[in-house]
This record gives sequence, C-alpha cells and structure tokens, in this order.
Amino acid sequence: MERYQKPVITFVRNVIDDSHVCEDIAQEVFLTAYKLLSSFDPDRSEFSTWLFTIARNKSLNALKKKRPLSMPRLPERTSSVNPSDVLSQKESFDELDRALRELPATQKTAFILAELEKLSHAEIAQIEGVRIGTVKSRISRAKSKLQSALKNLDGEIL
Amino acid sequence: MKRRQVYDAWKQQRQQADCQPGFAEAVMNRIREHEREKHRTFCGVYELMEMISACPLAQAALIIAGVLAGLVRVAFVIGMFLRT
Repeated sequence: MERYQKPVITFVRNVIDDSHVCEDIAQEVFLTAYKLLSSFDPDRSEFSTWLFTIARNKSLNALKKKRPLSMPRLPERTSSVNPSDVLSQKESFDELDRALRELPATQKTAFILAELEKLSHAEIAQIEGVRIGTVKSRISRAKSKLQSALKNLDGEIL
Repeated sequence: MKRRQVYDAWKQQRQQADCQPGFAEAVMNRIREHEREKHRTFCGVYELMEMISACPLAQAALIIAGVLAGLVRVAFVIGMFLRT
C-alpha cells in the first residue's frame, strides 16, 4: 500500500480539491480495492491502472455529492527570488488553481493523470474508458484553459 | 517570470502530497472492521441455519413459507396472463 498511497492521495486531492475529505476518499479507494481484489485481472490491466480507475470513480462521485468548500493545504514553496516575484507567482498559482477547479470533470481527471501522475495516454484511456484520441483532446483542452489563466505572462505551456 | 516556469512550479507544488503518518494504519483498521463485519454476517446466517435444522417446527414453518411464496408467484403470473 505504501507504494501507491502517495499517488492515490495526490490524485484524489487534486480532483476533489477538499483537504477535509480527500484522505477519507483515499482510504475508501484502498478499502474498495481490497474488496474487489478478486475481480482484478492482471491480463487486462496493470494494478496501478486498476487502482486509479477506482480512485477516479470515487473522486468523481465525491465531487458530484459535494462541491468544494475549501482549497487543499498545499505546502508553501520556499524561494530565493524577490518578494514581488513571489507575490506574482502566488497570484499565478491561485489563477491556475481556480482554472483547474473549473475544468469539466473528464478534462480535469485526464489532465491530472497525465501531467501530475505522469501516466501514459494508453493508461489514461483505459482508466477513463475512452479512446486515446479523446484523452489527448481532453488534455489539450485542459492545458489551453490553464494557459489562458496565465494570460499576463509570456510563453507557452502546451 | 515566463509562463512555462510558473506552470512547472505549480505542477511541482501540486505533485507534493502530504500523507498523514497514520494513513496506512487507518486503511488497515477499516479492512479489519470490514472483515469482522463479514464474519458477523456469515455467523448470523450460519446460526440461523443451525437453529432451523435443529427445530422441526422451524423447518415446517420454512417449508410452509416457501410453498406460500410459490403459490403467490403462480397466482401473480396467472393474473398477468389473464389481464393481457
């Protein structure tokens, strides 16, 4: 479990954006995995893909039941740059957080799995139950929305 | 700052999960509770079966209940055919 607890908690926290419930949901993911372990088929998917499928479904259910009330407590970054840069970075982070929160659920999970969990498009397609092309398009749309949240900065993220 | 730098720094921050130290233990406790609950349910069913097999009156009651349920089901199907 220790191998998977960090990626699962990170995923759930990023999807549901509520620090109070994310740990409960992550616990439920592991409990459900334990209950359904006999239905896991190693020939059909990797264990991590199967676990992320459970995590995705649990997170989306929690998201439907309860709209986010609070932001997750993320660790503060220490930086050696000057205070105005730190302030502008914080504003940019807030904008990105808001843009991520406002993404449609399917784009959000695809984006988080690809960019934060570093899963391949094939794995994400299996988790989301869609084709690879759909995954690519969802990630691309999510990125372009996040990019527009940083409209006052130069450069591209895509 | 460039957009890419900010984006990468934000992603890096988002990738950091601060796991509570007791997380694995909490999951194990829930699994143990689930196992206990499963065992209790199984024991309840097992005890009921033992009680029925030990008591002739309970066996007769079970058979009568089964026959009645079957008759109700047959009557229901006949009623459905008659209506159509």
